[in-house]
Amino acid sequence: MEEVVLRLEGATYRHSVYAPLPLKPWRSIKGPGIFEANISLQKGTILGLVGPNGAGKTTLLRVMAGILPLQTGCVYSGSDDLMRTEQQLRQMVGHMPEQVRWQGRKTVRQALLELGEMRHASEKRIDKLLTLVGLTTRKDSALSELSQGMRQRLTLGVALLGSPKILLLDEPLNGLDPVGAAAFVALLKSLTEKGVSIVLSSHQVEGLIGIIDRLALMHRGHILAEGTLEGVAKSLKLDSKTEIKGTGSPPRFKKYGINPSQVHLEEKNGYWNALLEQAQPHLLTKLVNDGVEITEWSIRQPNVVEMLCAATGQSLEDVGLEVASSAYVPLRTFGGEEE
Amino acid sequence: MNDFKRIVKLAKRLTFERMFSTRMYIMLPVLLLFIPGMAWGFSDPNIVLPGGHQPESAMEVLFYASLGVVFGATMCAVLLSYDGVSRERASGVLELRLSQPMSRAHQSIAMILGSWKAILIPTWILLLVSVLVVRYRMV
Repeated sequence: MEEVVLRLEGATYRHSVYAPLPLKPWRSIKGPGIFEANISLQKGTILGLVGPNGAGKTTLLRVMAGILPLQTGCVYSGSDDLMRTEQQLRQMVGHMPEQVRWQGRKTVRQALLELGEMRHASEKRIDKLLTLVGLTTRKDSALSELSQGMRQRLTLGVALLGSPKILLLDEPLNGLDPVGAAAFVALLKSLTEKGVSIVLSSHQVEGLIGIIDRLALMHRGHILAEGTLEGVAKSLKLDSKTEIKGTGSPPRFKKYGINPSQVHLEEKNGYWNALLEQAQPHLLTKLVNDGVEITEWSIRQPNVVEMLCAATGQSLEDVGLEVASSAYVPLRTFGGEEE
Repeated sequence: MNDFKRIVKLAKRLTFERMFSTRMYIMLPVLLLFIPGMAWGFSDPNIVLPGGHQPESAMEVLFYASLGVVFGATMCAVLLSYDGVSRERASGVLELRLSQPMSRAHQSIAMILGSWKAILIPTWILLLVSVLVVRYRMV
């Protein structure tokens, strides 16, 4: 089993929502947030946080970064070394918030030096970081002259200031061009090889598959499932799917012992496309032997969206469209209180 | 580096940043009008203040001119520090600051010191100009 670098146990943080009453104009109630989150971060791995908008990904990252204090629960460094202050946590964590809009006449180097002051980072370290994130040529440029991708690189540089053991990245690929994104992913991989653990939150779920080692599915402030991709799929009882494309008339799958309700078949202009709910590794030989014209064949692992739908028990539309309300309406059943 | 040195160093950077910010360029004419401008006005030999009072000494003129500091520098302090914090909050830089291992109390002290020094230096320079203006007009 891999070494645990950070563990959250029963972590809860609920945002205050302003809810004035005529006689209590200052009143606020506890709103959405994260609830009883249990998560273990292993050394040198990338954990992908996936969930719809308002699921609590950013709040969880802020709690892990020591920006928001825990209301209940504990944070352990390693598997059982209790961290008593947020400052201890901030010492070992580098945080890259979503879309920092750097602006002003300050240069890139000055901005890094200023924030580096808080982590005792030397000028030599700053120059190394500028090289690492590819901003050496722009080190004397004013912050307002930077493009979105360059701003992202600068934010990553700030997150890496104190050589953190844990890196928390909130939507890091936003604004990066494809080449920049590939370089970014390569950089993340090299950091994990050095033992840095990374938590990565992203809406670009499909792009995550090749990057992450572990996956945590979040919905309405809860972590619904956490583990390796295969482990999560297995725990959700999701099977691999078989995708077949061909020409001519499609085969009758019932003949091969496949329940027709588990086959989604589409026909268009002499081509057909079948998606079978289960992996059918031996079906290809049978189809070819029977003379079925097949152009493409693949056994596909369940994707992250399917896992999220399975974990929430909701359809794609429900998960996607319900988030707008779940972001603002607190859960009714939390802690026995009703708000 | 101990905490005190770190606060002072950070405050120095913030002072420099605030002093050469766009907001300061906007505020400087206001400060100029309020501090040396008031000194120029009150040192007029023919000025008659409400109640028929006429300032008699340079010190009295400087006392009246110091009202400009109360209005101008206070407004400048509020604008600069509010702008410094709220802009950083809106842009996300504050979140980056708060995720650094420096304690929040120390960060706040550095911010207050930084903003305070950024106002103090131009105010002192302009007060010195006021003294010269009063000397020129009254001696």
